Amino acid sequence: MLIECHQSEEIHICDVAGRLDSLSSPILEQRLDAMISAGQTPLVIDCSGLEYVSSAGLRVFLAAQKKITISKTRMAICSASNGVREIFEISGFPAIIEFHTDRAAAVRSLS
Amino acid sequence: MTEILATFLAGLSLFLAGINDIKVHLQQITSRRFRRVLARWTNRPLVASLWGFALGAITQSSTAVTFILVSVISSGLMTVSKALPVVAWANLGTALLVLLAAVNIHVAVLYLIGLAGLMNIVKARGKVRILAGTFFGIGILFLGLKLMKDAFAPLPSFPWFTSLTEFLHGSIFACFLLGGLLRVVIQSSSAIAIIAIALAHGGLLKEDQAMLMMFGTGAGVAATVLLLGVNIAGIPRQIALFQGGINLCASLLLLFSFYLEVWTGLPLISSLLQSLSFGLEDRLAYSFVALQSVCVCSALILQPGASRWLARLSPPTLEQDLSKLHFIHDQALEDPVSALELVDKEILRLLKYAPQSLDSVRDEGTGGAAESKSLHLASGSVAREIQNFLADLVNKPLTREASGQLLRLERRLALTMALSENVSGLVQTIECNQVSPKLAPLLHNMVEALATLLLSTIDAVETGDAMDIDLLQRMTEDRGDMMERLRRAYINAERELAHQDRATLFYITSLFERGVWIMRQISLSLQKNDGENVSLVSF
Repeated sequence: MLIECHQSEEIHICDVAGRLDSLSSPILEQRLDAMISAGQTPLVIDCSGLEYVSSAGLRVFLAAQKKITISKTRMAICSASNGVREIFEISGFPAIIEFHTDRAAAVRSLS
Repeated sequence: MTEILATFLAGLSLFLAGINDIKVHLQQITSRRFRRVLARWTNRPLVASLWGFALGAITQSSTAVTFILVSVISSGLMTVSKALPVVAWANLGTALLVLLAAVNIHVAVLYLIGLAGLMNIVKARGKVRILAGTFFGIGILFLGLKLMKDAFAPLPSFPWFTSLTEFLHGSIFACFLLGGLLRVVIQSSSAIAIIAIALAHGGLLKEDQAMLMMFGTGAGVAATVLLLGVNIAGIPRQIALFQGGINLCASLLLLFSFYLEVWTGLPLISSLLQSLSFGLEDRLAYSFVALQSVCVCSALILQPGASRWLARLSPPTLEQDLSKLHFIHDQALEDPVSALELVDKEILRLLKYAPQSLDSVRDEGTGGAAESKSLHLASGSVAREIQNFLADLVNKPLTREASGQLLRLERRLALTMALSENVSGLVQTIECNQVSPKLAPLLHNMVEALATLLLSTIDAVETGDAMDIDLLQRMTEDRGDMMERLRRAYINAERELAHQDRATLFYITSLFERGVWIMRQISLSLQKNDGENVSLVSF
């Protein structure tokens, strides 16, 4: 799995690619934790390169959303492929996390 | 001759039907209260022995006693080592029937059948029905015994009988083997003892032959354990192995003692019985009592290290391990508030089985189909124990708050069980159907999503945190439209989808929807009152 994070004063962006399973999930969780605790900056997770998500991966997004809520900021997921989008939808995530079709729309929404 | 055979067969079948009737009715007495009393009393060795004797005397079946004990051990109320004396003394209890059979209680038996039969006809309910059934079984059993004894009475008047008797008198050891063989077939040592007494009474067997036929039943029990042992595992097998072991010891010891007496002239068991001024039937009945007494002695000698060896020979199955209660226990009933907290923890433990059950159909799962099945079966056992515990708790003085909590826990238990059934149904459907590769991605997504939702449900129940409950409620909102869209999308995209795959798609998505609905109900049950959970998630 590849994780690339860019931090700025206005918005944090995290690109996630490859397989998000029980092995790689703790790494993503650590990176997201670091970004969330850095301040009240909105966070966009770009999933365009994400091929596979297991329940362990889904739990990382859930945990991130909880922390984001506590720190009173916002988070959005964008550019997920159809397969990944499907698992997010079936899990009921659209009711708790913002989803956007592309990164520009997500950044626009959170800015 | 035909009449003799017919009478004997009728007697034997009535006797066995009686034993079966008693067994079936007493196996229904597995209420928590009964098991609790049984478990408490077995803490004292003397009372445990009396319990074993009484159970053996009433049920006349070591299998029935084993069944009752296994249900007590499985619920964690008793350990195997405490159950072993009960098993041993149950053997001696079965000898009571043989002693009673030597006494004329025919009129009492007829009254028993008449009254118990009438109670069955008027369709009594609950405990009265069980008691009526048990007494009817006991009556039938004794009627069968009487018929068997009567059957052989006219035998000595037949000329062929004398020659057959002379032939049989030549072999004593053959009677020992015959006793063992009959025990394997008939499955009741006391029945064979009665048959042996009847045969000796009719003159078909000599006294020592009848005695050895009874001693052979001990070896028969061991042979039965070897034959049937492959079908049972874990704790029931431990009890069966112990039963077989002590019976074999008793059987071989008495066989050895018999031949030692014959060859050396040392006054042992036969001389002891002969010295008593009883009649033939009584002496034979006491030789059966001697066999069962040696059984108990063998148990007392073997028992100290037995439970360790038995656990090594037949370790508890995964299902038996998972079925043990972790939190609720009898003493907790004394303090209803603490008891409710323990029930809460036990239900949470049950809920945690659900995501584990999914492991067998997950890419990252570590458990197999057998583990998933064990988890489901264990869930049922634990849930029944919690239900019984809650039923006992209802009878305690409860505050209004505690009553409310009890109702909430009953509902959560019902929902948790419904969820367990649902997950098990989903897992079985996926395992049993050869799912087309076209459906594989959707199945993966549904299983992973369900695992996520289950874990979120556990979080909400475990922490009781308002945010966790709110998240769960949002995640489990009605998604009927979305699932319908998903079904249509798959059917339209995969036009060549076989009928079987379409059926699987509909069934699995329906199960998933139902599972989500149950989790929503659980999340709603976590709200103490309306409006207390303020939404913390907003965007």
